[in-house]
Amino acid sequence: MKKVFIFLLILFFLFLPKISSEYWTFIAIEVLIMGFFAMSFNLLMGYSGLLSFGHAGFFGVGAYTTAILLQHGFNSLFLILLIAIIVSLICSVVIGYLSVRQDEIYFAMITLGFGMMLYTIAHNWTDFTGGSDGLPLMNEPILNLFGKKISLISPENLYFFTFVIVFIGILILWKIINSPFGLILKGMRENKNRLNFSGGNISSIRLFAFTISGTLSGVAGFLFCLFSSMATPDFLHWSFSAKPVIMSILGGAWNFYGPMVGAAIFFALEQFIKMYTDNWMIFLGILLIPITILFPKGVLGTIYDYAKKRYNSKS
Amino acid sequence: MTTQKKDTILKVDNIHHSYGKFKVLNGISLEVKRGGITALIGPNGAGKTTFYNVISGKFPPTRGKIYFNNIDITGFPPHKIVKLKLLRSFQITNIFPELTVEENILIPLILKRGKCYSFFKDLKKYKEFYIEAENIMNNLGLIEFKNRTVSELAYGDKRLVEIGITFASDPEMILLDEPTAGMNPAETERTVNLIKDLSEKSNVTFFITEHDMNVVFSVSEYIFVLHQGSLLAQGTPEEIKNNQEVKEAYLGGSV
Repeated sequence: MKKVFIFLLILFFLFLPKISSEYWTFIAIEVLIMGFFAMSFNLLMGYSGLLSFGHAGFFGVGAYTTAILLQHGFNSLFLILLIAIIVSLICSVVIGYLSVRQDEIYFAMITLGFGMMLYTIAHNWTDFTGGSDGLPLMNEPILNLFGKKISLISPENLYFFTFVIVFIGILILWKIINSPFGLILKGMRENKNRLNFSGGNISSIRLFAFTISGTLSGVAGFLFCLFSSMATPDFLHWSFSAKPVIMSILGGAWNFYGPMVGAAIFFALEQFIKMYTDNWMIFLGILLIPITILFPKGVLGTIYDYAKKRYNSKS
Repeated sequence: MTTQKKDTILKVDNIHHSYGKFKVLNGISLEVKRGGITALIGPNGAGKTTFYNVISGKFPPTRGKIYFNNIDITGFPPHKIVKLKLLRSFQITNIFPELTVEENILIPLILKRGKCYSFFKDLKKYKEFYIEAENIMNNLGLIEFKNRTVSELAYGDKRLVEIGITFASDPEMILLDEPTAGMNPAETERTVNLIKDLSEKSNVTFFITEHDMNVVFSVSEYIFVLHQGSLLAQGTPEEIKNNQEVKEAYLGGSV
């Protein structure tokens, strides 16, 4: 039942650009990237119980690495992706190492601080990053796939490229949360004290989770740079870090696909409200209040719980 | 076994601990023999929990040394002390509330086997973990709650889950901090029988604190009495019952 559902969902995503307009294809790309960013972030918030407010930093590092490399004549997208992964991995390890000893609000604040340091670099180091204007992609990103050159300017091609990368990323996350390490993370969320007194080294477990989460956020940044054809300091701003928080809570932080569903709802609401007014954030805020009251575990999380209860009472 | 019982598993040498200026432990020295059940008693505020916190690595002693199996563990962090097989439970139920009973037991098993950093292999492929968890749940009478979320269980069963978590780490010694705190008489009896049973079946040394004197005198082979951060007396249950100092300081008219 569940497998059939996932299969249909994948089928839907595969044929989406064939059946929708370019406009909606672009929105679908944005949902996939931001949903994947939120899912990576949620490995920390939902699974490990750590609220990082600096994840936009890693997202931005991925985006800027891509933009800078493309500007300097690198043309293999796979090589660029690899370098983006390495750079965001290094940033995650360093920032993670300095943050994981803190708890709760202190952890949130220290990650916010590091995120803003990265923002300041992107904003003020004008020669290298283009300053507040950002760094536009001068060269057309071309994917070299077995000798075939595919331009990612075409929304359909970009969509499939994004879909494949996001799919692999989600597969990695799925493997991790179903591994022994995944259960250890949930244990840390539930009771880090007990975990410590069962033989778990809290700082080390957190550092691993932080590094995985930050690196995958960098991959999301890489995709987002191709999507928006530029990298700007906004990607690193702390308010950008709030997006995955909202998406995770909206969809359900305790559900694997919750953040992706949250991202879809987020952009659907944006599109819907923007038909009437440009100040869509105000109305989004107003709508978020009843949604969080009606769906305390997020939209997907609450529906899933309800379905499980119905299923259990039947059998 | 009889020769083993004579050697010391835990040796505490003149430990002190203070919270700021307030001295909680004033130079306690004691030796716990291997095997069986040893008890630590004392009135509220005597420093029992602080004593456990210091031994288990929650905070280091301000002065003094702790030896476990002749290894100096003074100042070790908790997870390293666990690796040496000295485990503890807590006075306030300390479990993983939103996980199932089985998951609660699996976590210490994963950590014990060093599979904490296994990132990509499916947990379900570790069949041996599930078999071992099943055994532990059977021993504790928790098997019927296997797939229930722990937060839904009755208080007494939650405490058993905690003993299960402690036991899953394959301990040589367990510090049980008031294992029957807050239990009704039936639950207390069940838990006491269980501890006796576990102690007889395994080679684990139990070191328990308890406020219920009936429990203490019925289960323990040797008793230490703490009073105002110092060791007041030690001996067999009979000796402690008849010790005049202990009566005055702690037991009052109740015995």
